[in-house]
Amino acid sequence: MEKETSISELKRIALLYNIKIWIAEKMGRRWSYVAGVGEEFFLPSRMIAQIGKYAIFVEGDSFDKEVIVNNVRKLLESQNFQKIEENTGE
Amino acid sequence: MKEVDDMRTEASWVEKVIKEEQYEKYMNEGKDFINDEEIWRKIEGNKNPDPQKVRDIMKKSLEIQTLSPSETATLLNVTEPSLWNKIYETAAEIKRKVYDNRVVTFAPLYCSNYCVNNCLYCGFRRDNKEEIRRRLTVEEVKDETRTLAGEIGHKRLIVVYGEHPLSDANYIADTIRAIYSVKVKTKSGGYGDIRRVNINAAPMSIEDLAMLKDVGIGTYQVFQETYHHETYKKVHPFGTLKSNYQWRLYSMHRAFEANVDDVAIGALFGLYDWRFEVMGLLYHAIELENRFGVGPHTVSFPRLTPAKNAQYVQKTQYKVSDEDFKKLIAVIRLSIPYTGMIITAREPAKIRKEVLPMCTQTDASTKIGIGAYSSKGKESQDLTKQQFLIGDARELDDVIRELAEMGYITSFCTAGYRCGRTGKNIMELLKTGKEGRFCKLNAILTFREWLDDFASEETKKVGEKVIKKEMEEVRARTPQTFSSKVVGELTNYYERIKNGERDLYF
Repeated sequence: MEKETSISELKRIALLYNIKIWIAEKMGRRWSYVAGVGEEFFLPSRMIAQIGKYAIFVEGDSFDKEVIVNNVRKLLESQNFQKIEENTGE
Repeated sequence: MKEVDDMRTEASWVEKVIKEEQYEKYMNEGKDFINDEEIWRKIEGNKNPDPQKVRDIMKKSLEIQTLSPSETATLLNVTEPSLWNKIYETAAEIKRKVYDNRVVTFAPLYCSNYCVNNCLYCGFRRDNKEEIRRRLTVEEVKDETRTLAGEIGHKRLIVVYGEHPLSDANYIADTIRAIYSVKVKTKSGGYGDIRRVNINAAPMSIEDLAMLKDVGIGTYQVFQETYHHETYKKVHPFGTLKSNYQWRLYSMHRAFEANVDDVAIGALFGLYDWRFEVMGLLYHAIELENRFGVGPHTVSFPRLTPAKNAQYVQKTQYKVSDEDFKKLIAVIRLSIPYTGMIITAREPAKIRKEVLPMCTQTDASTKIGIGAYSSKGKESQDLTKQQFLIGDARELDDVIRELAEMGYITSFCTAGYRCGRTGKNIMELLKTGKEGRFCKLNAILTFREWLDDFASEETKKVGEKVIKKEMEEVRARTPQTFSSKVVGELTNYYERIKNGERDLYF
């Protein structure tokens, strides 16, 4: 993953909603950290969407899930990530 | 005839294992990062250390900074008993700062004892004709898992394999899938399953490691055994796969190239001078930090124990005394302060209890015979079926009760690996002392689960007291450390677990 590009976009999202956000890659039954930003709140993390083999995890109170998912999807697509059938859900 | 065919198969497999191009690129003019002379120079050059210098080093460790080789060598040269006591106290303080008051438990699962190597200290060695060889089938691996996860209550395993074509990366991948597939109903109506599968296996190629990463391995563990080149050569006979020092030394480099998040290193203490091995572990950690930005997830420090037809164990002049064992653990704790440290059932209960304040993980209900969990064998240890003798065969329930009586909470947390808190991410949390907060919260939740699902009445009673104490501590640290929202979530999760929900975590 082009981490630098991803980080700047994730930073923008984290600042906008005051959340911690990170992307992880599915490996069997576990999730492997790829990139992320934001202050640690020590709250339970929530997987807000799975896009192919990647998932978006968020820690925080209020945010627009749809906007975040769309932006991250664009981010993943812009870097030629393999498009796999989308599976979005809490 | 079959024997000859087997030998041919083994030989042609062995020829293809090592890929020189996958480690030579990391070497500098043909040299690896362990410089034996330099290590001895550091040890010899830091004799009679100034106590103030030692105190300054302890302060640096407490700030969760990796020590330099000279600093570690300084600690190794301390002779003053009162300074050693201070070092032990500091080691325990660092452990609490990084990992809080919890101890993680796990069990080893031996899948196969076929081995092409002939290591002089090991019961699995090829020439040990008295060893009864066995490889578990996938169904047998599931049987073992049912006992471990459904009856004992383990949530994490270290799965062990000999180096042999019968237990190659494809077999390892099959066994990992089998372990993860098992889910067992428990007495409280919850379920038991293995949530993290770590492996202890031979050095592998990047391609094989990438395959194992895909099936979801947790930590990949390879011990260098000894970092001392000459000793390594002596105890790993020429011509065997394991005789290639660098193929082994650069295992973790290949693991990182294969995107494995967590790697674990270790040395088998007793093969060579323990001070040298501590320095080797430190150099290994520094090399990984410098190259990949991530140090070892855990460090192990097993001591040589008796093994069948392995006379080297009796002959070695480097056996580590209990006193030195305690010292080496403390110095590793201070040298690589962020790392997890594993004290295993190789050690007798008394020693485990003594060094536990400096360690983060331990095993219990340990059986190291192939198929030993599901066979329910109550027989004493049998060296024809296992790699070495274990020193503490107590059940998990007994170990947890003792830990609780000592004031420790047992954690079955595997949260980080399931929400991407791995690799560089967790390294940062560890170094800043933030991970300890997750440790505390998740220890409370997972311990509650285990007490309800598996504990004896006696252990449950002591365990409840520990949970109460930990809960009070969380509340006392609110809002300075834990926000009221965090406490609210903790209380909510805790009640839901008490009502039968499982696997809730921070």
